[in-house]
Amino acid sequence: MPSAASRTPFILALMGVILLGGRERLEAAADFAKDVKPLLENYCYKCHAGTKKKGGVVLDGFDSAASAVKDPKTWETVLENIRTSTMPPDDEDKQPKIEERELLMKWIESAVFASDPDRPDPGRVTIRRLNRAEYNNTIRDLVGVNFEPADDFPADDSGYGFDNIGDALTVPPVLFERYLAAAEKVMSAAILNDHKPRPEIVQVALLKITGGPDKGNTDSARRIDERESQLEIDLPVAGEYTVRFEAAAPKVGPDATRMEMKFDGLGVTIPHLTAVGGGSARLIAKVRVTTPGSHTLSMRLANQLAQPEMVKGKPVKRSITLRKLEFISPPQPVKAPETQLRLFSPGRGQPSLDASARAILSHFASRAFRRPLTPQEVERFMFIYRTAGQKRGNFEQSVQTALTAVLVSPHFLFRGEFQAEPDNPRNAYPVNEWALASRLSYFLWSTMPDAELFAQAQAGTLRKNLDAQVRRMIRDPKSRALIENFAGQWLQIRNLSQVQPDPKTFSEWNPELAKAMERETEMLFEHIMREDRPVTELLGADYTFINERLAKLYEINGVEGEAFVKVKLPPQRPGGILGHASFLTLTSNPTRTSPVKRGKYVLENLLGTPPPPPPPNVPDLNDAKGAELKGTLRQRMEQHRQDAICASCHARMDPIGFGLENFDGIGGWRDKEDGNPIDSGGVLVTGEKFKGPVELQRVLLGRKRGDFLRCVSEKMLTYALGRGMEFYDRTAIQKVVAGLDQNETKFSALVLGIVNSVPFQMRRGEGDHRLFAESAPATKTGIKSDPAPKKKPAK
Amino acid sequence: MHIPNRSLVLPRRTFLRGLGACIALPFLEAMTPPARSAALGGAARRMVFIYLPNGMDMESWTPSAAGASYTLPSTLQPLQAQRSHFSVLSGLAQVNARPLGDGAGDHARANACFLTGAHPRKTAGADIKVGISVDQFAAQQVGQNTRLPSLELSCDVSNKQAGACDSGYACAYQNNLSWRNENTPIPALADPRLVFERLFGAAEDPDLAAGRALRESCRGSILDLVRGDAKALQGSLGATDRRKLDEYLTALRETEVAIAQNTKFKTASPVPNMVKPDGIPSDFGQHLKVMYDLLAFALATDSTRIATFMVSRDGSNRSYPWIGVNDGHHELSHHGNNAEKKAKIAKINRWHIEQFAGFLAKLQTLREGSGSVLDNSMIVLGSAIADGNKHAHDNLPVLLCGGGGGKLKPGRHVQFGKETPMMNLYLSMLDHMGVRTEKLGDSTGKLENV
Repeated sequence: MPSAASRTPFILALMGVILLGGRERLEAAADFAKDVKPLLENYCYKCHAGTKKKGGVVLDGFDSAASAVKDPKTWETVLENIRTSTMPPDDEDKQPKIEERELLMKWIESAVFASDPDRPDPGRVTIRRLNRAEYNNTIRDLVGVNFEPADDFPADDSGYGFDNIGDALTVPPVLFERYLAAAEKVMSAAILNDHKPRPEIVQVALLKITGGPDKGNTDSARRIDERESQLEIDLPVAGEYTVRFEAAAPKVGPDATRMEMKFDGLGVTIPHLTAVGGGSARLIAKVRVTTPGSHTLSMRLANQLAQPEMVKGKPVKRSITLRKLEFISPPQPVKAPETQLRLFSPGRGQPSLDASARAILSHFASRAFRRPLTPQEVERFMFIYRTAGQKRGNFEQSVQTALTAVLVSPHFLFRGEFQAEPDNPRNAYPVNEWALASRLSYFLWSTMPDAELFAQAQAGTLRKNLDAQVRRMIRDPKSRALIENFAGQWLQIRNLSQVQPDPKTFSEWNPELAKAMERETEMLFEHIMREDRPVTELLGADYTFINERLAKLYEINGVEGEAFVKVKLPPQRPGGILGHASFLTLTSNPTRTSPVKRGKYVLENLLGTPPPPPPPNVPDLNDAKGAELKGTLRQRMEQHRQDAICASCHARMDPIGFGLENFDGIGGWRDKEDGNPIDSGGVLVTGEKFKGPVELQRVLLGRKRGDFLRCVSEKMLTYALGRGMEFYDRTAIQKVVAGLDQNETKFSALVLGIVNSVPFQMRRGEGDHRLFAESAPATKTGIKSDPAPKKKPAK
Repeated sequence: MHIPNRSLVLPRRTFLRGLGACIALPFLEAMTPPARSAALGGAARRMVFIYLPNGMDMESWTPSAAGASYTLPSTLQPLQAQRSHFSVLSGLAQVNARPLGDGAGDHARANACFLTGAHPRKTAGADIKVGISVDQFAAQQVGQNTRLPSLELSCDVSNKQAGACDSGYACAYQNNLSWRNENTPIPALADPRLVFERLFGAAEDPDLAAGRALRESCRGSILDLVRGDAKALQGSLGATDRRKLDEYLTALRETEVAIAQNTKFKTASPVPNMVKPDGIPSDFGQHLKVMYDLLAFALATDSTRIATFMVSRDGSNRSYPWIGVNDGHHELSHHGNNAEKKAKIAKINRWHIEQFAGFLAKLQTLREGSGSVLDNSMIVLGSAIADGNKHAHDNLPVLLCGGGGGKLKPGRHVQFGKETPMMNLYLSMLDHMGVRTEKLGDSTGKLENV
């Protein structure tokens, strides 16, 4: 007989069931003994009962829903396997009917997982240290310096597909050293240490250079050929300048590449350009500036022709690509930088230097810690200020030293969220408004809250104005971080800089094309975000954004230059990510497509139904058992799939990948592979038939639409929370999906659904979910402020 | 706490030409060898672990005969000149890289297991756990003898790695060889510039030049303050969060040690004749070379005696077009006994051995006491996968190089019994370094015959 304590969740679960909609209520009312157990006996016990414990799963130990509640992990496994039709294995003769599968799934979801919808488990996020992107952005907004100190930090490890996961972000010793060094560097740049003269650096915008090659130039790559290119530049003072430039010049022929340079018509001596591993060389030259104001620098490639004879009827030429160009003036008297004026402004009008320092520190630290400080906390930093003063630091230096300490404090480097009884899993609380402001800003901007969010938190009005604030934040240019960090990792387009398509197989391939591919996908996401379009357009847009490089690859006419334009797609090319060269390239091997990788990507990242991992030690393609496989890739793979252990999983992945076989390894269209016509028709494991990529896309937008919406919600919630999804997050995810459904799947509905979800709004003490679930009456009052959305997102 | 008045990074040196063409070519041979022969006294001075991904083509790796007079197989032929300075060890295994009920993910497990001999917990993020790695075990015992307790290198630009890693394993397992304890990996540096700065100091920043003395004299107070912050913060956090703050506190303490070590070894640090590298070369061969050079340099200057170098993470799908291999390495490694694919794998393996041979040759030219740096080193090169096609984790490809200060008997092909734990090798190496322990990972004893 189950104890009273263990019966409670069952009753709660029932209560939850009663609150569900009409259809669900009927199915959820399934009874364990009458409806569920017979199914388990019939289909599962053969391998998961008694002494048989395949995969460590045993199911005959459960005699009621209450007993199942105690082991959610097992039932999560069961649910996933039923949902994906992984179990029973295909080679079992006895297969449950679709209705039977659904009954079992509904029962697990409602009886085992669902809790009181008024009191879902918010789960618990491990304290998150700032990752590199967050550190850089936070320093930018907090201090106002424009360099990115975290670029020198060791790489962050990622978990669940993202690099902002509290559990996966560790603090190795070398990182702490970097924190200290970065804090000192940031503060030394922000606040003047002394008034010694220093050089002024004038950066040249490379696109301002005229003459010479006029195509393919960007702000970070300016080509120079044998014709003269010119630059008009304003220089602030007279004197001897150092011209520092970074240029790439691949080695062609025996001699070094030479550049000829003139300043105001006079020749300038510069070193030869030497190619370094395909990278850039840095060189300097000296020029004399007689008067401040406008001057002219001209450049040309002095020895363009590398050898007298032609190769394949073409001359062999050298080339130079300028990457960076700057003028460094003779030392100039210095003024306090803008950052210093801003950081010191709270100290103005104070009665004493100490009072001034206290005001500066208090203001800065509360922004850095993203919450108000206690007076005692401020005094601790005042102690550093005084210590520096005792060591003969002047006022600026002493304040600077104390501010440096703020940047090494755990309160800055970690996003701590305080709560009573942090180790008591029975209690859940709404996070306070300061923490909520940080959750919002790091989710949507990857940086600290701005003045408006702080003001709302201070006034205690942030929750009340949440929808408006979220919409404002999405509109703000800082939401670009969501594209780079969320979309970049979710869709894996960050990895494009790492792929290596074989240049022999794909002659169009070059790094600029890779960048364009990344940009196309970013722009689609950005368009959906900024225009508040349906998120289903990520799968089904009939438009895209391309520049000339991509237009060539896609065989679309009329797009010229590096700039991206929005175009309508030709009928054979599906819009959305399925037709993006980014996805198609990322999922290919260097010399060929990989239908398996494409299928796996779609299942994992777009449908949220990952295939079960391959059994260990399965031979890969070409394990011909003596016979050589022939034909198109598809034909060879189909021969391979006759192997039963491979067939069941590949039946999930391959049809999707085959449906995209008209796209080659970098996303170009093809009708044939090695002379054999491409067959891009297929049937999904769930029965949907299609022919070609466009029809496949229709299937995904049709019957698979729900899977996609759940997948995008799960991915974004993972990113927003900084933790992996747990079985008890189902309710929250379902709510987000429902919100999307009610709002034409608009992007704002997705973000608002997540921001208003229980796990985003609340946290509980650390410990077992069960303890939380069993403790309902005691903490009912602890969550008085209802975190559930009070109103639907505006249409 | 007393913080010596000393920069975290070494001061600017004359060799730092901030401007001018930057070519990453160290001229180690021209360097003055540090006077240190007295310290040797017949002990192994240093240990280095180098990881190559995706296993090997074992047919062209394993010598057919055991003993000293074996014939060098084709993959190892680039090491002809160093033949008497290394042994081929066959029969070693990392059985904890096997699934053991955890299903797929052999590449992640191979990386995580290689130096720990532990079975990584399968998790995509929460509760990461494997075991302390041999290098960190040594560094925690004898790391204080050098300015840097250990050095971790990699040619993987892992910050760009997005999305999930191998089959449900958190990326930490695949990105790191070194673990300071079972939960905390030590990230490797991939940017040669950052490695150089870690070894020899950053160029002086004009902003930082002013106020240096004051800043350094206040560091102790700053670190004391933030230590207090962390401890107070722990009081209001749950158990997992407290552990994160423990990591912070440990890192803080080790930074203090690093500052002190910088001071202690300030005068002993030799001046390298090397121009600071300028970021990560786009060419992989160049990248690998400059990393090997920096590693040789770190050892020769005695900046550290313990190092790991993950040439590429396991599962790497890099192609090697410069040797005519345009397909991805991982893709090829599942060769299905296709002769052409196996030949390409062997080609990749051989190319890597060529690069490694260059590194050993460099260590040979660096004199130290009456021998070379190589003579006093123990260098393991290997993989925790043998044949990539089957993800085999036994009979691993392993080279043990260097003389270990007279402790090793190189120049042979040694065949060990089936599934001899790789950790037994490490246990012997620790012993030669003067680090005593009864067990590490799944070790069952020391390897006597190496």
